[in-house]
Amino acid sequence: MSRKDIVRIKDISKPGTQLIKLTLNDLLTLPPPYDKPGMEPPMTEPKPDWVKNYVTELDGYIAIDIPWKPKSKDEEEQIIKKFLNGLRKLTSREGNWTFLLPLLLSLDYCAKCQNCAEACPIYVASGRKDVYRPTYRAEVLRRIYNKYIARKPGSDIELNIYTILRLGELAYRCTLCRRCVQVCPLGIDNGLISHEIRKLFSEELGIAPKAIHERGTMLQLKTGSSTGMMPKAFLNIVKFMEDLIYEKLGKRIKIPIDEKGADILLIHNAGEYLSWPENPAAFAIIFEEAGLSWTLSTELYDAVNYGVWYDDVQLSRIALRVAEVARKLDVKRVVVGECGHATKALIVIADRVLHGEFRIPRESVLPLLRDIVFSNKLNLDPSRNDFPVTLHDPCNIVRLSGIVQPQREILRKIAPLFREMEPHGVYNYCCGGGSGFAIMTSLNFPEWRIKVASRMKFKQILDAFRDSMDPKIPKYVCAPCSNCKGEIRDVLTHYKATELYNIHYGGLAELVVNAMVDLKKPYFDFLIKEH
Amino acid sequence: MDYIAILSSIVKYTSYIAFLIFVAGIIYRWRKWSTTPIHLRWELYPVPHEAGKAGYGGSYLEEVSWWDKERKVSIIGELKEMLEEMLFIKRIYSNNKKLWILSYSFHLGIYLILIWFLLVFLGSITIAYAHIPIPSSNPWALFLFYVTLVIGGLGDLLATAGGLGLLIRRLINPVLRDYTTWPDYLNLILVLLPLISGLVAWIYDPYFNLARGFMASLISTMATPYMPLVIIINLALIQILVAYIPFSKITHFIGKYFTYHKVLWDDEPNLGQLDGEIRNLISMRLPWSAPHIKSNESWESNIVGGAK
Repeated sequence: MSRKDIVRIKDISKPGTQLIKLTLNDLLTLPPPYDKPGMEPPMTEPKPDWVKNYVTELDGYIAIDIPWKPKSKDEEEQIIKKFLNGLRKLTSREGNWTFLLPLLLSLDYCAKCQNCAEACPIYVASGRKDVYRPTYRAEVLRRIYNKYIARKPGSDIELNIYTILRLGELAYRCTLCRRCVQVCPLGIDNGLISHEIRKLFSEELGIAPKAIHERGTMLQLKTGSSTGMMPKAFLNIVKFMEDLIYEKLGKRIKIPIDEKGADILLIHNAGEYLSWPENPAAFAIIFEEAGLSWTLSTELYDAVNYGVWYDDVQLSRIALRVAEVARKLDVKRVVVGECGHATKALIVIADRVLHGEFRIPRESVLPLLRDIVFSNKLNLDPSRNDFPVTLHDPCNIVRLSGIVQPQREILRKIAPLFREMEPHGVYNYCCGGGSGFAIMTSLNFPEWRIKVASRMKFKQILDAFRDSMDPKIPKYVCAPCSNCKGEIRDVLTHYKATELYNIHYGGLAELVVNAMVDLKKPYFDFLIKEH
Repeated sequence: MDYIAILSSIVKYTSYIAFLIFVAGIIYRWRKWSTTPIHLRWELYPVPHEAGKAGYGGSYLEEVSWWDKERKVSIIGELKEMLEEMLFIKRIYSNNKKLWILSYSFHLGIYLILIWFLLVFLGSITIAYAHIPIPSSNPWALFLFYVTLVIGGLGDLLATAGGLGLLIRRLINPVLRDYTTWPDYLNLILVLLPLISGLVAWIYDPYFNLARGFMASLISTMATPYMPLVIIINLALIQILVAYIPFSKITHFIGKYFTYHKVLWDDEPNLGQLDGEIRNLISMRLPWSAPHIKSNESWESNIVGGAK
C-alpha cells in the first residue's frame, strides 16, 4: 500500500466532491452462487441535483435526508459555531452526564493500533476503505476536541464546513454494533463515538435522518407510534390477528387488551403489526396456550425507542412514557417482544433513567418463551420444522444485553435442522440494519446499507445454507428482532434470494407455533405453497 | 567538588521530585475518572463476572423475572479476565499476532523492569538496614543479586526491542503514520530514551551495584555512590519519564481499569440504590439547543411526561 492510496485524516476537510467512490469490484466477494458477475445489481451514481441539499461529499450516499447543506458563507459559519458549542456540551457534565465517562475515556486513550478495523463488517465488506475504519471518525472527533476544546497540542485538523458535513454523514456509516470494542485491548469504544457524534448533531443542530427523528421519535411522542398508527387502526389489526389465528389454529382466541392488573404488559415493535402480524399473533397463541395473565395496550402498542441511536433526551422521554403507561395499567412487568433495540433501550440503557415510581420491572420475551417451550405446555412436534434453520443474533439482544442461550435452547428443541452461523452469539455480525439503518429508506441510502453494511450478514446466511441451496428446499433465517427482519427482508429481495433459492426469514415465535401439533395447517405460508 | 558529584546530588534530589509529581498526577487522574457521574448502562458481553454465563457471554437478563433472583457476580471470573489481559494482552494476541509480538515484548519488558525496581529497592534495604552487602555469601543477598541481574537485563532488552519495533511500525505503515500525532511519538520516545540509555549504563554497572547503591542513598543516610556520567544521564531520563507519565496516554493502565470495570463490565441494575443519584443528575440544567429541546430547563422537565 503506497502512501498516496490511503485516505488520510486530514482529507476529511478537503474541499470538493466525493472522498471515495465504491464499486462492486471493491466489495467483499459473496459466496456461490453470488460470486458470478450479474448476480448482483450494479451500484448507482448519486443524482446530480442532490448535491445542492444533501451531503454527497463523503462516499456519494446520503443518510441524512433533510436539506442541511449551507447555502452561504454565513450559514457555514453558523454550523461550525454550533458544532463547536455542541462539542463543548457533549464533553460536559451537564450536557452529557449520560455518557461522559465512556466518551472521554475513548477520546483520551486510543492507541490507534487499528486492531479494531478487521472486526468491523462495514470496513471489511467495503473492500477495506479507510474512511470506514472504526478509528477514522473517532480520530477526526478526537483531533477537533483536542484542538478546539481541550486545547491539547499536536492535533492536526482543520475544522471547516467539509469536515462537519462529512463527519455528520460518517456517523451514519456505523451500525453501533460495537464489535470493534470487543477486540480493543484498551476498551476504547469507537461505536460509542458514532453514537455521540449523532447526538451532537441532533441535540444541538437538530440534524438527524427523518426516519429516526421527525418521522421517528417525534411522531412517536406525538401519536404513540413511529408508524403513525392510531389506536383504532391498532385494534383493527388485533382483530385481523384473531382471524388469522382462527384460520391457522381452528379456534378463536380473544387477545387481551388494556387489562388492568395483568401480570404482563407485552409490547412489540409496531412494525410487527403492520409487516409481520403473524409474529404478535404467534405470541398470542403461545401466551394463551401457556395460560399467562397478559395484555396488550392501546396506549402503548409501539415498543420502539429510536432515541437509543441518536438522542439521549428522546431516549429518556420515550422510556419514561413506557413506564408511565405500565404503572397506569398496573401490570407487574413489561415484556419486550422480538425487537432488539427496544430490548436494549428499555431494559438495559434506560435502567439509569427510570427512577422511583418509573422503575417498573422489565424483561425480554426470549427467556419467557424458553421457559414456556420447556414447560411442555405447548404440544410441539419438531418434525414440523424439518427444513434448514439458521439463527441471526441481533446485536442489541446478544452482544449488548447478554441474552444468548434462550433462543438457542428453543431452536435446538424445535428445529431439527438448526445450524449456527459463523461467527455467532456475542461475536455475531450485525444484520446491517442496526442503529436505524433498516428504516432509513430515502434517496440512495438503501443501496449502501444492503450492499455494504449487510454484505457480511448475507455472506453468513449463504454459508450457513451452503449444503442446501437447492431451491426445492425451503430455508429459514430466524431473526428475533423487527429491525433485523426488515433488513434481512430487503437483502433477500435485493439478491432475489427468496425467489431463486427459497430462503425465507421471520421471527422465533412463528417457528415455535409452526411446530404445534394442534395446528390445522403449517403456520408458514411458504410451507403451504411447497406442498 | 567535581561536576559528577554535583550532578549526582542534583539527580538524587530530583528523584524525590519526579516521584512526587508521579504520585500526585496519578491520584489526580484517578480522581478525575472516579468522580465522573454514573452513566447510562453501556455494557458489552461477554461480561466476565457473570457467574456460569461468562463463557458464552450471557447475562442475568437470560432469567425470567431476573429482578427477583439473586444476582451471581464472580469476582474470580473478572480477575481471571483482567489478569489474562494484563499478563498476556489477549485481545491483541487473538487478532493481530505481528502487533502482539512487538507490543508484548514491550509490555513484558516494562513489567520486568518494574519488578527490577522492586528488587533493587529490596536490595538497597538489605544493604542499608540489614547491613548485608550485595553480592555476598548470604543466600538472600545471592538470590537478590542474580535475580536482579537477569530480570533487569532481560526487561530492558525486551522493552527496547519491542518499543523500537512499535516505533518503526508506526513510521513505515502509512495508515499508522497518518493516525500518529507528535504527542504519540513523544510518548514512545520518552519511554525509549531511558531504555536505550539504560542499556548503555548497564555496561558501566553490569551487576547493578551502583543502582542498588543509589537507591540506598535515596532511602537512607548512605552516601550517593560515585556514578559515571552515562548513569546520571540515564537517571535523569528515567525521572523525566516518571514525571511525564501522569500527563500522557501512558496512564492507559488507569484508563483501562475504567473502560472495562466501569463501562464495559458495569451491568449493575438499578433496584432503587441509584435513584438518588439519578434524581440529582436529572435536576441539572439541559444546555442543548435543538428545536425539540427545552433549552436550559432541567433534564427532568425535559424528559418526564413525554415532554409535550
